[in-house]
Amino acid sequence: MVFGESLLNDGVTVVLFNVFDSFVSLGGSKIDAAEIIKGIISFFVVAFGGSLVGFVFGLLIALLTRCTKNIQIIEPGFIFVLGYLAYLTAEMLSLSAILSILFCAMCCQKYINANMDETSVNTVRYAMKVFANGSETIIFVFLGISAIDKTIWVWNTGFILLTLFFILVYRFIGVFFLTWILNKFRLVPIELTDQVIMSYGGLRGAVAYGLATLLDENKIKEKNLMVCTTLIVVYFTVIFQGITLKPLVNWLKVKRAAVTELTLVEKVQNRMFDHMLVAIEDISGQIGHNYMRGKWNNFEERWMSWLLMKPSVRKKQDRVFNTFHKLNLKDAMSYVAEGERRGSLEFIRNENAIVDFKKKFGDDMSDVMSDVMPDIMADMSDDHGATAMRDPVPSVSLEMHEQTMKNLREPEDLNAHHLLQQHLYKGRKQHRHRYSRSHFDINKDENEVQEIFQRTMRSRLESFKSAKMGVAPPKTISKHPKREQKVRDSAPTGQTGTLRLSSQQNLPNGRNKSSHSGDEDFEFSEGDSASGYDPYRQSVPMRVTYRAGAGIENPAFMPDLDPSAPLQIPPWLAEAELDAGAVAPSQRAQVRLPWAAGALHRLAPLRISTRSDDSFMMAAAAVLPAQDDDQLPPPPPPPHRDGNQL
Amino acid sequence: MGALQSLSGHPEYIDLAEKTGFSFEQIGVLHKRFKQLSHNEGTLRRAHFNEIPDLACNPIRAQIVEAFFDKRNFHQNDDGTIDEINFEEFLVVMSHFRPPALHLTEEQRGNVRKEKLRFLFNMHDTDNDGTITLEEYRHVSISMLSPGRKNVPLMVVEELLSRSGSLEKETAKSIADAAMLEVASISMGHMEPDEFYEGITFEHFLKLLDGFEIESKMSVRFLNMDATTLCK
Repeated sequence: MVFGESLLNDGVTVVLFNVFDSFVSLGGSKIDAAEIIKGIISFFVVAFGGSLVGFVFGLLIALLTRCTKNIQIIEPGFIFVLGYLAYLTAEMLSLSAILSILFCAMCCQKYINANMDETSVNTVRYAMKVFANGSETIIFVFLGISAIDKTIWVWNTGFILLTLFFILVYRFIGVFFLTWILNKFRLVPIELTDQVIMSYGGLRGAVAYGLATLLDENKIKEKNLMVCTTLIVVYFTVIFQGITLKPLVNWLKVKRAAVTELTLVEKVQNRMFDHMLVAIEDISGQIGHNYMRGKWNNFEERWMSWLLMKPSVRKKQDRVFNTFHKLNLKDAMSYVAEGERRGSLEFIRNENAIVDFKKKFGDDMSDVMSDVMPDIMADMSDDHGATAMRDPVPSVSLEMHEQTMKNLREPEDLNAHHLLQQHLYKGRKQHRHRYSRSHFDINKDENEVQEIFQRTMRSRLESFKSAKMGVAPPKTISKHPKREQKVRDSAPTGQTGTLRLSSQQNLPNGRNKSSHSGDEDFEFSEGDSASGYDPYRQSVPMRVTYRAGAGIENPAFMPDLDPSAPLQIPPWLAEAELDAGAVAPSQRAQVRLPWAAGALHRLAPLRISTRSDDSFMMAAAAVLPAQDDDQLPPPPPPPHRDGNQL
Repeated sequence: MGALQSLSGHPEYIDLAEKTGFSFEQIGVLHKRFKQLSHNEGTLRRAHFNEIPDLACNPIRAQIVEAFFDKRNFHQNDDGTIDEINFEEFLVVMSHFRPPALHLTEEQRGNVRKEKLRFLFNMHDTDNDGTITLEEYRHVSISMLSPGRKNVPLMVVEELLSRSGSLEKETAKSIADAAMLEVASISMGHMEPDEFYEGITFEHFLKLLDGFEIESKMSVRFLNMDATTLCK
């Protein structure tokens, strides 16, 4: 409110100055009632005329930015030029130039922000800031310099003191009077403290000084007096009032502008209020404030936006949407930063995982994407009809991104978006209906799984070969807990098919192959889980806690393993993984189990240390005995787990 | 003031004034409007609301009209919906939007706020179960955020939407989901992964919109206007 008041104040000042200047040139004797009335009228004309000129130029700028999609480089230049042009035009027509610029900016701001590229917007914003700062500095320097110019100095104590006194008094009177009038129409009345602040905060500055120096010396012989008095006033208000304003604000405990960004819920609620209030006013049959606002909004949306905004941009013009968009971007960035920190970016490089993911995504995406990317989308598997009934909360963030990407971006962007989509805005209520103990989805599409597996295997083979001893163990260890958790998550969802597949590969190949596949298993499952949308649901919040566990575990773990040959680790891990895979048994897994059981016997002590923190594993494994009769006898696993449940 | 004159003509206004807090003139104005809307029938039905042309282009028209017929808003601790309302009930619903008096104690202000929030909550919670589930929230949000979906039921909308329309609806749905998630994270803090967030209860709702100054935002000035100026 204060800011707006000061802006308009400046504009009005100039107008009044011109009016009185013309009075002076008219001569004192000729000023009678008619002239005064003319003066008042001219005041209004100048003010509104200036605004109108500004408005016209604002529209012009907005139209211009609508058409400059391909020549974005000239946009900032045009804005500056047209802004200045608005000023000049108003000056030429003897209208209020300040108001003209003000209204020009006010009108076109929304459309410019929408139409122009973000870089252009930033350019304009920062350049304007630089200019504004520069201009202000220059004028205050000018102020200071002219103050020490002795030749123009005229000191008239009485005049100066009276001026100072009167400006204070009149300002207070003006503010209080006007707010009293306003309060009759306002829902939330302007309080006394606000009024005091507004009155006290009336700093006179550059405009007053500029106008004073504009005085024509021939017409007004006391120009020097005016200038000096103005100088004193400016100094006084800026220095004294400016410095004491802040303590005053603090003392009166004025409510500062809320810095916190409204939450999404609040923005949605705001929108709802707008509509609701308009509706109530309609129902109660009144033309109220809200009604007007509603009407204006409707008009503006339908006509002005249509005219002045690029069509592609119109759809996205929504404050709630923008908040949403910003939140998503923020989350995306923080996720990527987190991923980089942990060094776990392999799954990003695996593009096929994303293809696979898309298939499993479900109905939400198919509606939106089906006719957009037919080449990438393979046939959607029908068996996911049931599982796709999961709540679509995770679809939150990136559907919007997909739609903005509708007009063709590179596949990499798409992949990146889909990847992010897996991880953003994970709701925590998924597992309620996901974890069905009796129903297991077997991934029916074997070919795709096979292909992915082989591809991953190949790539992992290279990395494994190159860093056999040193790198492999820590890698597997550190990711082991994650995998376990993923395995557990994926268990009910049908990833077990893929795991089992890998286990199948293990046996025929024998020990030496299993060392590879152990690693591959692990990597593959990770890749697969990356492709599988579900396991990652909780991976973001879960991973944090689990990492801590892994971090604590490792020092205890490593000494155990170092004595044993590193080569033993992969097979052991492979078996452990099989055991994990056996958590959710299906027909195929039952074949595995005796072997896994045998392995368990042998490696029992080692298993404890890795299983220790996995409460979920335990919980899931608790299902294990209940599940199947063919299973490994309960004694081996539970004692270990009981031992863990200290 | 004209209070005394209207008082003599309508003694029942005293009760209404006490109950709803409106002044006599406001009640008079609203009564005129009520008669106008109901064509002097004495009760309002949903069809009457649909006749207001300006209301037709309001996205959440349906919810608002429903709110008038929702018994929970009548302050009688009752449930369910009815089909027609008389003037008293009309006034009670309108009183939710009355601006708060200037000098209220903190407690009174809290009560006013709670009442308004209760109204909002009822508007969201269409199945009267005391929580706003994701579906309900989404329903309201979609109708609010996607313009132009006037009286078409949601299912039909999904089928008939053009490409540009579905853009908004999907986005709106996502926005609703995100907002819901935000609520979940605010209200419940860190949840165990197996927990299920049922929906927003009234307490959560209160906590959520606490800093919102709803008492000033959700108010309409019932000016002393002549109802005949608007013949709609």
